[in-house]
Amino acid sequence: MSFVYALLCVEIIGVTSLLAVARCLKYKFSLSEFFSLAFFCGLAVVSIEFLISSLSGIKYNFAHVLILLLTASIFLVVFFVVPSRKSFSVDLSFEVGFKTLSLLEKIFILGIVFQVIWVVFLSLPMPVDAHDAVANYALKAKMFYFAGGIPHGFFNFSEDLVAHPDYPILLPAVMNWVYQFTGFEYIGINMIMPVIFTAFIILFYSLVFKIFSRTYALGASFLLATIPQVAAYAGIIHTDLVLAAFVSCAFLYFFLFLKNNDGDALLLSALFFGFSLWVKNEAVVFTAAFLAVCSSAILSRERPHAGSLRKILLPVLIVILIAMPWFIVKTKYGVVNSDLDVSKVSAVSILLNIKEIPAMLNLFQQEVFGPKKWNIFWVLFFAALIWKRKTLFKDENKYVSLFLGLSVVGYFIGYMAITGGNLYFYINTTISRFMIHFTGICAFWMVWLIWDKKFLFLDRDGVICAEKGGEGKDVYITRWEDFNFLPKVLEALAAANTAGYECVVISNQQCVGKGYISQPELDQITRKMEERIIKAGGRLAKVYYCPHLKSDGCVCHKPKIGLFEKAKRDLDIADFSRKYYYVGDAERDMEAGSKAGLKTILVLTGKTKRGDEKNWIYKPDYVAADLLEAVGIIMHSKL
Amino acid sequence: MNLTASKNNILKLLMTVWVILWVVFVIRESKHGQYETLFKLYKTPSPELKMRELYGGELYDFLVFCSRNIPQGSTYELIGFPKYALNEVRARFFLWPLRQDKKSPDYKVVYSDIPVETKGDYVKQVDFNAKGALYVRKR
Repeated sequence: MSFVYALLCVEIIGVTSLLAVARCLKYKFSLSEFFSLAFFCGLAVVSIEFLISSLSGIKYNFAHVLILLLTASIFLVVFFVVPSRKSFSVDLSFEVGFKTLSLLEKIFILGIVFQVIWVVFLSLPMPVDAHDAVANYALKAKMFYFAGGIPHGFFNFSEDLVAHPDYPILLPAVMNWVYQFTGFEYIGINMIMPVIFTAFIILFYSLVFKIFSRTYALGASFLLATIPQVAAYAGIIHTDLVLAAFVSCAFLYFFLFLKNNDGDALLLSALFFGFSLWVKNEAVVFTAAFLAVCSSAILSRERPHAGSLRKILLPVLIVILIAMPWFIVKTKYGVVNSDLDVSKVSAVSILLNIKEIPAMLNLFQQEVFGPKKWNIFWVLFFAALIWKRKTLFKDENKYVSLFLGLSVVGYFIGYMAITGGNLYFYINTTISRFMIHFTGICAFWMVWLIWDKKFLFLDRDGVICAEKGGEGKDVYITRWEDFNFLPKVLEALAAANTAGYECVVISNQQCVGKGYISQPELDQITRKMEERIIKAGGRLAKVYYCPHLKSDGCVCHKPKIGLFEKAKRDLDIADFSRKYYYVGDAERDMEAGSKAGLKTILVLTGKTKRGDEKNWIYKPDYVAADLLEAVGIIMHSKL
Repeated sequence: MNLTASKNNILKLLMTVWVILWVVFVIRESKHGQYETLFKLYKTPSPELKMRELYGGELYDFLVFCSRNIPQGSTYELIGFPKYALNEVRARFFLWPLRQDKKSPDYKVVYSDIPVETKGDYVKQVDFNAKGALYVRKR
């Protein structure tokens, strides 16, 4: 029971820490997401506090732990009493009815539960016993416990005394925390890993569920939980699974930012990448890749201005602040990795090792595709990449590709830098474990690539912006000053994005063909429109215009469906099959949408008055007062 | 789910294969003796006996002896363990807070099938068992 209390206290500290952060956000947490995220926050906060208090000379014992808990409890009370400045929320609805689950969902849940129970069964009676687990983490935790903190001179201990004193201390610090409750023991401490594994799967599911349907999210979670290597490391005290948990969840928050333009998700992502630096040195590669890709994403989506620069700098600042205590310690004590002394890495040493690349690639493919028990996952993953190769560099996928590419390159450079004729040894002993670091991200991306995404197609004038009215040239919007968003449109687009819909505009703009506006000028109006939508929390995936005159006889001028066909090709949609909607304000929109194979919704914010559609040949499937109501219809309809 | 029929069938097939492989891998662990060890550990009542079961009786008893008879604050050197051997790290872990010092240890902890020569500065204190011997530095 002491063990359970120890982890409950980690949860309390985590909840307190997360509430402190969440009060600055408007993010909406699900219940499972909040508590599983809080657990990981608790792990990180416990280890950061341990380092700081040890270096301050404060004795680390049970009294210390109690003071920390008391402080956390006081803050918890304060948080409930003092209202938050922003409106973050936790969705307390929690579906527990087993009857509402489909057979497939029940199978997935039972599979995950069985895997967790199986991992517990494997871990419960075992002492810490794998090589690195004993040499590195268990020995350090024992040192910390008996010394009442980090022993004097620890960071300069020789490798004969303890392996890799340069390693981040999250895992031994957490083990030491548990020992404060249980006393030092050889048996039972292994159980930390099944708990971390379970929290990982729950948080993974919670985040994936924000993107996919419940069935798909459960399927992805089942896939991840049952990868044999992942499950195996759920019973061994190694940091590889812990790093995978932090990096995967950090990346999923980053993906939520990419998809929904949710700035709060970006901050949570930065928080987690910062925490990951306390887990394992390899987190530096992932964090650097994240900061690079994040900056690239922000700059490519927004024109550089104060707001976008702030968006880039804030994650950098968060990562630096969280990592700072650890890096100060490493710098102060001159701690270097015995395998990889970065100061000795040079362009020359990397160039000399370039000849090792064929050998490395050969070893890599043996590890990934060789007849080992978990490689079926990597075979499926690479098969999915090949199947969906045309979409790998489109939309959010290009940032995922960039992130993974940079991370893999970082790992390879690391191997090249540390090999001195020992390439075979290092690859053999580490690559299998290191691939676990990528597993969560790759499991998610594989499912994302093969997932049939949801799209919402819509017209522009009369749906997003007000029709200008007037006659002749005055009918057309030729300047940004003439562009006025209709009421509740920004809210509607944000709601659609949050619900997982990619919004695509398909619109006739024959003002270009008539010479009233040039294509670059139209593009500028579009860019400003997109920036306003992004600011309001939404995003347009694609914008298609027909610039031709109706008399040109092109295939893209509505009610012809040329632009719809182009959208299908670009978005990798095999067939609309009336699975998607087109929202328009005129009969030609209904005709175009119907002919293209879409369901149609007529909004009354443009040319059409209620009742006009009754005389049309192509009647809409639904009529809505405005785009917001149309989005509501779509979200509540069953496909 | 939003899936075309053919994609749906492919995914169902893949999921079925995945579940079958998953079950096979779980059962296959018994080949490596993991379950035999686990059940032995479950049947073993105390933590000390579990450790003894896992480390092997000879090594465990020897390490217990060393931890009790090497005075606190002394240093030791492990001899006879193969490089990177799991038993070597187990020994260091078990003996802490005793510290290893390969340069000038107070004790040499020898665990080897093969007789080990130690330099003249050290005298054998005890032959604990067939493999374990403790040497102490001459004063």
